[in-house]
Amino acid sequence: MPTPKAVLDPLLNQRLLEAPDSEAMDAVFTLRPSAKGSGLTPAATRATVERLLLRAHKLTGATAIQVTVFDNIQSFAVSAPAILIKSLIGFKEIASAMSNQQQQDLLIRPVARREVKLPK
Amino acid sequence: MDLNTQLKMLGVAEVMAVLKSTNGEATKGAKAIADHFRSTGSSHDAALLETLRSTVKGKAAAKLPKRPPPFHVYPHLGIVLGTVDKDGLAKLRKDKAVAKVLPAPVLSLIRPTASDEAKAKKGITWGVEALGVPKLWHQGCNGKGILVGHLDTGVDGKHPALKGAIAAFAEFNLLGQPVPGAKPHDTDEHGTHTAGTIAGRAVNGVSFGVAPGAKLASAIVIEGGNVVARILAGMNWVVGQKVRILSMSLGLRGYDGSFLFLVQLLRRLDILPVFAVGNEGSGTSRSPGNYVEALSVGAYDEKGQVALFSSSQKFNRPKDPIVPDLVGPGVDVLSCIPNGRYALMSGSSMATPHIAGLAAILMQAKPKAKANQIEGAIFKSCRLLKGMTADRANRGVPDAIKALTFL
Repeated sequence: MPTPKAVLDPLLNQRLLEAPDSEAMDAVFTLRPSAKGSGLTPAATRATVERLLLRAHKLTGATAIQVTVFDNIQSFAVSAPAILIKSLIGFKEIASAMSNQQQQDLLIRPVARREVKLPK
Repeated sequence: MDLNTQLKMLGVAEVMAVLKSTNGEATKGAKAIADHFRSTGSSHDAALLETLRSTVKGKAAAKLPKRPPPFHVYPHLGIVLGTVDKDGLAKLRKDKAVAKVLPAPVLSLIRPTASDEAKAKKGITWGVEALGVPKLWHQGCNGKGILVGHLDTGVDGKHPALKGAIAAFAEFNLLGQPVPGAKPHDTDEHGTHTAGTIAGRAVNGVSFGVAPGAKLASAIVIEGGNVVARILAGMNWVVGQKVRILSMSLGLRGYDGSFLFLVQLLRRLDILPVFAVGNEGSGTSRSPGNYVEALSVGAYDEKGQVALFSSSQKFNRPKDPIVPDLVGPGVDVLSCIPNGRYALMSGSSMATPHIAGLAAILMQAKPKAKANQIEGAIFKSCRLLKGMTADRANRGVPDAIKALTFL
């Protein structure tokens, strides 16, 4: 059964379509579970991210500017040229890719607020 | 949500068909494409009609249409807004009268906030009472020993209501790297308020924390700028802190699968993800709150009615089609805000920490119970109050004492 494509954030997709290959952008990736379906350990997450970045570098010649690995949750954030981001998205190990900066307000803000004094 | 995601998740999509002509010719064009649209129970119009049916009385109620309209025509703009299924969308795109088909825009009201200061009375807040929580306190269950993950705008660590409540705190930069030496503080007031609802200690005879014995692993993951790496850094950090529950009141509008693998991972790690469903009303929801894997929370008021602002949506999926999973106290919720102050706030963000606190109390009572079992017990304890409908409240309101009996 072929691996399904990574879930791609429409905002990231749009940015990649519009940006030249050399333009730096920030993206956040999650990794698929292991082939057996179990989660990746922190060590396996770190090793996988390193391997993917090396593979993308070999394919594109581009290098990541900054990387943060979230090893407890099989994810990482990367600041890199667009061509490297595009390359990463195509790897089967990637479950989802999102633009780091989102346009909408993510906080679910209260609809009403009133200050209150407690009794003494 | 883009059109493909709407069709996949809801079975229908709400579209804006831009006609090739305007005014009189547009009206003719609209008639020509009318058959491509369909009336459905999953549209915004359907959700609005449902809300009207539960609130409008007498002669006005008799005038409500039996079915939601399949489309609306705006001839001067040359636009038709309506709902289509997959087949209808394909026909619309091919129709000679149509220039293009776009997702229907979704707008949010910028709501006013009240500013008059009120006075609180001594006692326990209505929301904590409504859940039946004080009875568990009397049995010695107040969340002691349970660590709850709290990802929000931060938390005022010096607030008297949160004394001893914050076990750990973190802050992250724009690429999710930890800020060394960060001390508990709030970049807004939202985080302090939700933290207080989970684990606030009583102050001056006023009790508003559901689990006043619990502790929080709290991190700033949102402060106006909407940076995903911060949220992931927070999730990564709370997992490392070994939390049992994650309370989060943030999300992307509509359905977005980007966080799905993460929430599934939280479940595999036996962490209960308690997420707000959103404040955009009927026919809406936010991700990750609207995932099957999330325990999604909507809001109800002291009169036992689901708040009009509380999001709810029905998805085209066999398991858990309706979100939220249940409703919690979410209107005029008293809690703490920075600098030693207090405020009433309303929102599904206020309901969510009530449920997170309830889960903490149950976890203390039954330390061997898994997250899924805690959730199952909370669900089984729920009931719909008079006037609540399942499409808006799903299972309804939980009961702490009943939930404990199911564990």
